[in-house]
Formats: sequence, structure tokens, C-alpha cells
Amino acid sequence: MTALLNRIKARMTIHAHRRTRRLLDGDYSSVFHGHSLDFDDLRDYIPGDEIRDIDWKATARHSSPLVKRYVAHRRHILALVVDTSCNFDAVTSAGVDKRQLAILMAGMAGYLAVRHGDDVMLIHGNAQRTTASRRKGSEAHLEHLLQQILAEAGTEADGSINEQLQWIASHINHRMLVVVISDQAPLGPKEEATIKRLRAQHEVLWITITDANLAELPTASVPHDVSRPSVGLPTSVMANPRVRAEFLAAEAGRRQFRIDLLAKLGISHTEIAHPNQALDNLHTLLLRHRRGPR
Amino acid sequence: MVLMFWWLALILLVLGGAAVFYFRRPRGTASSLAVAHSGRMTSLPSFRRAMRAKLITTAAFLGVIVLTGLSTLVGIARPAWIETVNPEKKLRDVMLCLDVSGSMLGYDADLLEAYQELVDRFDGERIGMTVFNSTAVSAFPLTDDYDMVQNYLAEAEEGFRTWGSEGTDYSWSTSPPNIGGSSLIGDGLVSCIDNFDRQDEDRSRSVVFATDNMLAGDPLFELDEATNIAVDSKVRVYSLSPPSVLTNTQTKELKSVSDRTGGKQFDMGSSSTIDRIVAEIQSQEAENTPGRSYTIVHDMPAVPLVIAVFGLAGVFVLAWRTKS
Repeated sequence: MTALLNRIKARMTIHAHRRTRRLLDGDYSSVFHGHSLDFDDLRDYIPGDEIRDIDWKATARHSSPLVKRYVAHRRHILALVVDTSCNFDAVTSAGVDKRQLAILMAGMAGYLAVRHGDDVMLIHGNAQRTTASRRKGSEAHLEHLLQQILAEAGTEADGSINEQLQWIASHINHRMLVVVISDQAPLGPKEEATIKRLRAQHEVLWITITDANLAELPTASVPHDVSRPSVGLPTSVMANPRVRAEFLAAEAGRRQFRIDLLAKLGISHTEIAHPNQALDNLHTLLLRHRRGPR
Repeated sequence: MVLMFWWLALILLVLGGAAVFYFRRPRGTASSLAVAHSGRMTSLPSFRRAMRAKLITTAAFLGVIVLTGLSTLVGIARPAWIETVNPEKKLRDVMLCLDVSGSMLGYDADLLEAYQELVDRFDGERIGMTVFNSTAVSAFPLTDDYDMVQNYLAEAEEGFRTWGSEGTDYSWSTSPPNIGGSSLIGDGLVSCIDNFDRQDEDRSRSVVFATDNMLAGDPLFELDEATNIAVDSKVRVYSLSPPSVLTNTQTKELKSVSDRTGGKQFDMGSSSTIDRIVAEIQSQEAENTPGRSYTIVHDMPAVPLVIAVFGLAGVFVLAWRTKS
């Protein structure tokens, strides 16, 4: 039953250098600024404090005894927001399955949270329907969530990440770490407003799974749009130099627009096309978030 | 315009359609690559332009192929122009028989004018003319060269109008001094009958016999004997007499000749005479000479085959252009 999660764990163990994995744990812990460390600060000893809480080294450098103060450990919540529409039954720009990559990214982030003792919940769906799971901190729960993403394969509904974000805005009151896994669907003013609204309440991280480069598809492939399986796309026309140039220019423009928009809203963002980049990109994403938006 | 081997073209068309159906490229769905948000590409103006260009090229290619195929099929189907020739009228011979005796000289010019009108109405019949007085002269033999006939008739008419000073003068040649008498009607009719050629063929023969029947002299054949010869030779005699106030003996004689040979007697005066003669001759001959019609096939392969050759060249050029 834990097939998906086991594979993700194996990938994190095998492919990642040990140091990197530890780094990742640290990255995750530091996402919640100021709240993530068990140790908070030192204060003067008052009678009644636990003797084992006395920080002897600090006391030695001070005139009066000092005790370590610990933050009461709070269980954080990681919300995985995943677009599971038919758009994810397509391939990425590296030619791998988008849904599998989304599962990998969700699984990695979720595993870090579970290891950290946090709860994980999944908000997924398409333009018509949004489904939210319960929040729990077990690996079995995480596996169940990943299976839900997989089970949406073959749906015919179109995607709209805005729906899922709206759901969070209207249903969740407490602070969460929100990891959004979306694709290259354009972000408009509607999305901008929703993201801005969420940003005020939550920590938001954004993972973009890049869509196939339509101008450079292999000529032998018979491409079609997922929403219209019976209609092929003409590779000969799409590879036409003028069409290709215009497409690449438009793509670059859209990409820059997304990056600029998310940067403006103060949201850490990374793009991913292949499972090989998963660990590095996740690390980069968490690091960026810790350093704060620039 | 008909297609002689239309069934062959039809069979090839069906075979070609079946070949296209069986060898068409299968639609790839199972092994095809699914991509999302193809609107990123398909909404680009340059993509739309390129698609339109491709559509036009493909349509042109298809049009050339279809045109080439169709014209080849048309060429294979052997287009031909079929002409059915009805030779009925060509089996008719009409001999114009003109009395140029002194008593007739006043009428001859008008008669020749009437003859010209008569010839205008004919189509396909052979016409000949014999003039006679004391002896008969063949003005021209039986022919279907109507231009020549008109020329001869016009010149003869002019000759009679100018009393021989212009045109053709028949008066002298038909009354040689060594033969006595004039207007030898019976001899003239026999001469006319004798001028029909191709006696071995089964043709319809008529004589338009223009005379006043004023006999002067001693003919070799009486009119009665001449009529017998006409009946024996199956020649119908349509007699045409100058206008006379009363029906005299001469006219009655002519009428009996016509009646015996199966023809009719007409007066020159009435304006509808020519119409009636033509109608009479043509209706009678139509009964008498059932046509043996035959068919001529003119093959016309040039246009479809030329289109096919140029179309094939066009197909090669377009195939090469598409390939590169």
C-alpha cells in the first residue's frame, strides 16, 4: 500500500547526498520563521524551574542562573495544493509524465513534514470540483493522499488552480505551509488576487511543472492536446522556423510574467521538468523561502 | 459527347477508392504524445498563418491529384463524339428538264429563277439539268455541288434574259440545223431520263419537266412512249407548265404523264408552286428510300490526356515541394 511513498523515499535516499538530505530537513524546519526551533531563549532562573533546564554554560558567563526556554512544540500543517485535472495527464518539457512528477514533488514535501512531525493535508481538484483531505501526520495518510492524486488520472475536467486556492481562502482559518503544484496555465488578475489573499495568512511555496515545448517536439511523435485526444497537432507546422520563434518568444514572455508576478507577491517559486531535478529544486525552493523574497 | 468505356472508368474509380481506403495512414492515438495547454501554440498568429498556408497547399495538392485522376479516368473511358449519318437524302436524284423552244423562251428565265429557288430548298439530293429543243443537251450532270449548280442556273438565266448576248446560250446548241422540228417533247423527256446515272443502284429519281407541250415536228418518241420509258425506269415526272388561262389539251397531256409516273402537274403561275414541288418530292422520296443510317465514332482523347500529363507533372512538383 505504500508503493508511491516508498519510491519517493528511495529516491530521496539514493539520489540525494546524505548532506543534502539533512539540509532538506533543516530547510523545512526553518520555513516557519521563529517558530521552528525548539529552543527559544534564555531567562533568569525562578524557583520552581526544572534543574535540568538550567543552561550551565550560559550561567557560567553570567552572574545569575539562566534557564533555557523552549517553545511549546506546535504541530504545523502542510497543505499540498495540487492541480489534478486532465492537464496533468500530459508530458512535461522533459518528456516525463506530469502527474507522476506532481506526485513526486508532493510526496517529497509531505515526507519532510511527516518526518518533522507535522500534519499533511491535500487540496486537489479541477475547474469543477475541489476535494480536501483530512490532516494527519502518518506516512500511511501521506501515501493515501498521493494515491488520490494518481486516482484522478483520466479525468476529463479542465484545470484551474484558482479554484483550489479559493477553497483554502474560504475554508481554512489557521496558518499553514501551502505548497502549490501547478503547471504553466497562465496566471491572470483573478489568480493574483487569490494568491495575495493567501499570502497574507499562509506561507506559500509555488512549484511550476513546465509544459512540453510545443515547438520542439520530436517529429516522429504524434502529439495531441489532452482535452482533444482525437485531433492531432501538426508537428511540421509547429516546427516551422517563424512559428517556432514566435512561440519561444511568447513562452519566454509568459514565463517571465509568472516569475515576476510570484516574486512581486513574495512567493518562492521553482520550475521543474524532470524527477532528477526534484531534490535540488525543492532545496532551492525552501532556501529561497528562508531567505525571504527579494 | 459520350464515354465509350464508362464502366472501365467506374471500375477503376471504385478500385482506386478501395486502395485509398485500405492504404490510408492509421490515426495515431495509442502511441501519441499528450501535451497540455496547446492553446499556447494554436493561438499564435504565425501558427494560424502557417496552418492556413498548409491547408491551402494541401487543398491544392488534393485538387491536382483529383483533377489528374479524373482526367485520366476520362481519358481511359474513351471520350468520343458519335455522329449518326442518315444517308436518306443522298439517294435522291432530281433532274431539271427544261424546254428551250421558241414558244418557251419567254418563260425560261423565270423558270430558271424558279429552279434556283428549288435548288435552295434541296439538301443532299443530287441535281442535274438537261435542256432540250430539237435535241437535248446536258447542262450539267447529276451533282450535289450546289454552288456549281447555282452558278450554272444563274448563267443560264442571264443567257435567256439577254437573248444569248451574255451568260450561257442554249438556244443554238439545242437546235442544230441537221435536225428538223423543234420542241420535241418526247425526245427531250427520254433524254432527261437517259441522263440518270448509277442505274444499278436503287435510287429515287424524279424529273421536273418544264414545258408547254407545244410539239412542232416529228419526234423519235411520242410523249406516250416516253412516259412508258419513264414508268419502266421508275422515274417520277413532275411537270411544270407555263400559266395558261384555260386547261388546254397540252396541259391535260402533261397531267396524264405525271399521273402515270406517280408525279404531279403544276402551274408556274401560283406562288406556292415551288413549295409544293419541294414538299411533294421530299415526302414521296422519304417513303421510297428508307435510310440505312450508320454511326461514325470520333475519338477525342486530347483534352483529358493533356490535362492528365500536366497534372501528373504538377503532382511530382508538389510531392517534391512537400517532401523538402
